[in-house]
Amino acid sequence: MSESIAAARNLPPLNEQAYRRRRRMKGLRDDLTSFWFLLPILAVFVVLFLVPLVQTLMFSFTDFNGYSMNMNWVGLENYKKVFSDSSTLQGLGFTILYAIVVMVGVTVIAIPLAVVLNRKFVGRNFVRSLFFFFSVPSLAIMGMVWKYIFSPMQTGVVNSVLSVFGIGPVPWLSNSKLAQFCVIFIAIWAQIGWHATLYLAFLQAIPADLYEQATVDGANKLQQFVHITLPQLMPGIVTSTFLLMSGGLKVYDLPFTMTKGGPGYSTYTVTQSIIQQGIGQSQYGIGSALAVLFFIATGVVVFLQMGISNLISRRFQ
Amino acid sequence: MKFNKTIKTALAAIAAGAMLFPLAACGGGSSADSGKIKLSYLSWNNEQMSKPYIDEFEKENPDVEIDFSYSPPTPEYIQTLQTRLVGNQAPDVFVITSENKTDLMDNGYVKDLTDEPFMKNISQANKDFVSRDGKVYGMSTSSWASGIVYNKDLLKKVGVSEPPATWDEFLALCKKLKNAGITPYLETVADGLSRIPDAFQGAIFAKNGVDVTKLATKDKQTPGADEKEAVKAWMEIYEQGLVTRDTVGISGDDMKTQFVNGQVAMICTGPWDFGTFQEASGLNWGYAQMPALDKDHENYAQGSPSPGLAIYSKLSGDKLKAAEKFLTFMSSKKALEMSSKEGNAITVEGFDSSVIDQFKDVYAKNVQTGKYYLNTNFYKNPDVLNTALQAETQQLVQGQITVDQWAKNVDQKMAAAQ
Amino acid sequence: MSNATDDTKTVESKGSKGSGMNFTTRRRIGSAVTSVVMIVIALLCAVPLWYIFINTFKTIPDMAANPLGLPKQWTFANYVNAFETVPIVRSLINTVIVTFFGVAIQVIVGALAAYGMILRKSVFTAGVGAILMVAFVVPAQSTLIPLYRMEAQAGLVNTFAGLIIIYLGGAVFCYFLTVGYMRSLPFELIEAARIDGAGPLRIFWNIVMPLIRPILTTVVVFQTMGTWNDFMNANVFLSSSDLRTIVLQVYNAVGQFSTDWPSFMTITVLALLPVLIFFVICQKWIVSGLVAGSVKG
Repeated sequence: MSESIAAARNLPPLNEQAYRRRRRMKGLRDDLTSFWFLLPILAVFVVLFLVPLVQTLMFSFTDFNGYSMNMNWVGLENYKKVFSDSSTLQGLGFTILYAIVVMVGVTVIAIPLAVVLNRKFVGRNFVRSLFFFFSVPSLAIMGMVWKYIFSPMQTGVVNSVLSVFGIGPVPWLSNSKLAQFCVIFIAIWAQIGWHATLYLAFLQAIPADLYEQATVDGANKLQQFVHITLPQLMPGIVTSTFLLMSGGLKVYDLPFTMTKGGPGYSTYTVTQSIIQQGIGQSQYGIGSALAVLFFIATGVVVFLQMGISNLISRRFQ
Repeated sequence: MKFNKTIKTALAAIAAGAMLFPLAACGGGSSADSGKIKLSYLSWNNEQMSKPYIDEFEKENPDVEIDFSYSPPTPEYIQTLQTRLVGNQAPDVFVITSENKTDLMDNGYVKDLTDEPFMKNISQANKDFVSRDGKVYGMSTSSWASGIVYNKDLLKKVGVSEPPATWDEFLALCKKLKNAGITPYLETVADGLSRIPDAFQGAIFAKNGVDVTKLATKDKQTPGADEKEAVKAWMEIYEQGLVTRDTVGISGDDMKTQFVNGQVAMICTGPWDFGTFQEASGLNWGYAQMPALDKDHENYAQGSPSPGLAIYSKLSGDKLKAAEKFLTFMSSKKALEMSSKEGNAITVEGFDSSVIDQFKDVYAKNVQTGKYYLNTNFYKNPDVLNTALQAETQQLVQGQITVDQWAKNVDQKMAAAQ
Repeated sequence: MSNATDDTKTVESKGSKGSGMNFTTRRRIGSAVTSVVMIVIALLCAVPLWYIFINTFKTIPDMAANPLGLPKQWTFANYVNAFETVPIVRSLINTVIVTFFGVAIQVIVGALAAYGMILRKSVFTAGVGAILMVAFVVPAQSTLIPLYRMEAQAGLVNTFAGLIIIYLGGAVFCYFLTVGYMRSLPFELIEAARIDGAGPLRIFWNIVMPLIRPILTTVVVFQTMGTWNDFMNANVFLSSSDLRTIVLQVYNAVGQFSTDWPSFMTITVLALLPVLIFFVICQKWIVSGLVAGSVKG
């Protein structure tokens, strides 16, 4: 694209052949430069992700118990066991629900929030800091606080507010559906601040003259938002939804601290299953098999999602 | 540009930090004097709790230096120990407990302590907790037993001074309180099964003469079927509407708060909450034995020996001697006195714990006599059992499944993990 | 330099040129309404944070009796106790060392990679881009044992260096955010510099880095929070008490059956205060439109 235009401007061709040769040379040089820039991250990737992942793959074919390195090859036995475990399947349902609802919820709230936080108003820094800070304290402590807020007892925070209006008490954490709602609600609450900050950064890359032009053309705020802000934010949306989706499918801490996966299996997640089998139940082989399967499944979902959002963003531009 | 300046400052800081860095990294414990034997000790009690013991031990044994590390209970500790063991960074002395004892014994990480002199006065119940085939692998010096914490003032309103001895009478008392407009009882099943069925079950096993230490060796693990009668009896309190089914979503902290604020007459918990009750001004509380299933059964409690100390099996020579010295110290009168002062109910023979007044009854009748039971201590795969119990019990309390289905589901999960 | 999408200001300047006071006044009222609405929403959403903060000034029974209100009697015993029993300062220094190096290196590695990716579109870069995405779908817990064994063999466990290396995994995250941002930038700026004959490192440092400042700051802030707050890796990889980071000290209050919440919350507040200040300082770098200024002309 603009690269070749620039090259052409830089090196006016003397003749066709020389031009081609120079272009190839330059291409090679660029390849090399880009390789040097990518080298550190490749090293990080190989050491911290690839090697452990290969080991996990190996463990998944053994009866490794997580304690002793004396292990036996068991072939696909672990994979069979994963598919015969009903709780893993139950976990899958909530995991998918969680990932999708949180992704949509956070995106829908964070974008307008970022737009507002980008305006000038008194107390803006304060508000930004507060929103950003929601997710910072550890989940152990936030879990304790939220349990108190969503307590099904009359004395819970939400229930005592509702009782003023004559509603309740609502069995927040003791009803399966409501418990799922609570976990998802808290996840959205915790993440909007950070994703709004992310969008805030992306808003800075939108050239101001686009808005000036639109104002001259008589477009109102809403029209500007739909026709300028949203399309221009597409790279940000792709980034943000990718993070939400990959993080959502891997979720473990929040449901576990809030409900330990309960009531029943209503907030049980796939990662909880991996961890419980791998570490708690000393079936590291099965845990690894589950991790490998899940890794593949998540990969497929996330790549599909990337593809779709890239497609949409190209449409917009 | 301002940003460039910032980068420059940052770079300067990196350079300065890089010089500091090796110094700081070295600060961590590698500066032991060469003459001393270094004993690494991984505990789940935090530093401020462990320090007095370590200081005292080092004072008595100047040739040993303890390299202390800590990881909080329980999953975090299990994970840390597991990773260190499999990474060949095993601590010399560490904590063994119900969640990891099978793995530690199976994989030969813990030393057989059966014939060690310091094990002589350890009580049988505590030895049973961490033994297999007659060999003991850990030293546990105290135990806990649950009970019914009650609000004396609220009970007085219906003319009762303390909770009754049997389950039927207990249910009757709840009804009486409920009719008087007082919330009778709260418990939590958010983290697992209620404590009451375990108390019943301990008594049932005792009456039938079942050797609980043999349960884990059975081919077919059936904790669900075994405990069915006890669970059925316990569920009466829900069937009769004497306690809210919201216990599924009530945390232990929530329950404690309700009790401290006088919003509920009785809760079921253990000695770890005594501190809060004592601090609460104006709270007139007592701690009663768990009710018995009926007149034919004894009053058991849910309870368990506290985690024990284990020695890494591959130790030898001076390090092993130092480790043995450390365990000898931890079972000495001095250390037990310190532990007792922290509120631990010591079970070592020949040592009488001084416990607070409220605890005296349960301590004498349940702790010292070993009349307590915890199902996850005695079956294979305690973590599988825990997870299954929690999920299935919540469904049971929610009214989604029956007790029979509950037992069947729990046993299926156990069978799947074999 | 005007803020890129700060439509208030843009319109305001237009308004003052044109129809005058009337428009500006309306804007001001609008801004005041925004202030009130946003502050109220933020405060409502911040109730959980308030809960943590205010309870550090209460005793356990007071907290049980009255969790959300002001303390009946203000007590600083929790803070005194924290400083007496936990080596707060030492742990904070440890955390600063680990966080500073961890974040600085991963951000640089990530930004370099993002630029390398943008620089050239080839089969190689496309392949690397796809492979790096893999890092996002690996559940951290499943690679813990392999990583620990690797570091143990290299003699890196129980050192800051070992922990910092583990944190470098975050470089992939930095890369991902930065590359997304770079794609949204006008490429002409970088091209212009290349035509001028500047070397790749110089372009990276002088042109690219300032351009991506908003996202870099966002990433730095986010990774700082993450590293500062990391419990799992610090807990497994550090064993000496001298090396403990501040978050590990927070967990001092956790017991087998119960947690000493006032102590837990107090050390949490002490642990988070520095990052809160850090965020407040950093946020002005997230929102100052460099791009806007450079592209406009």
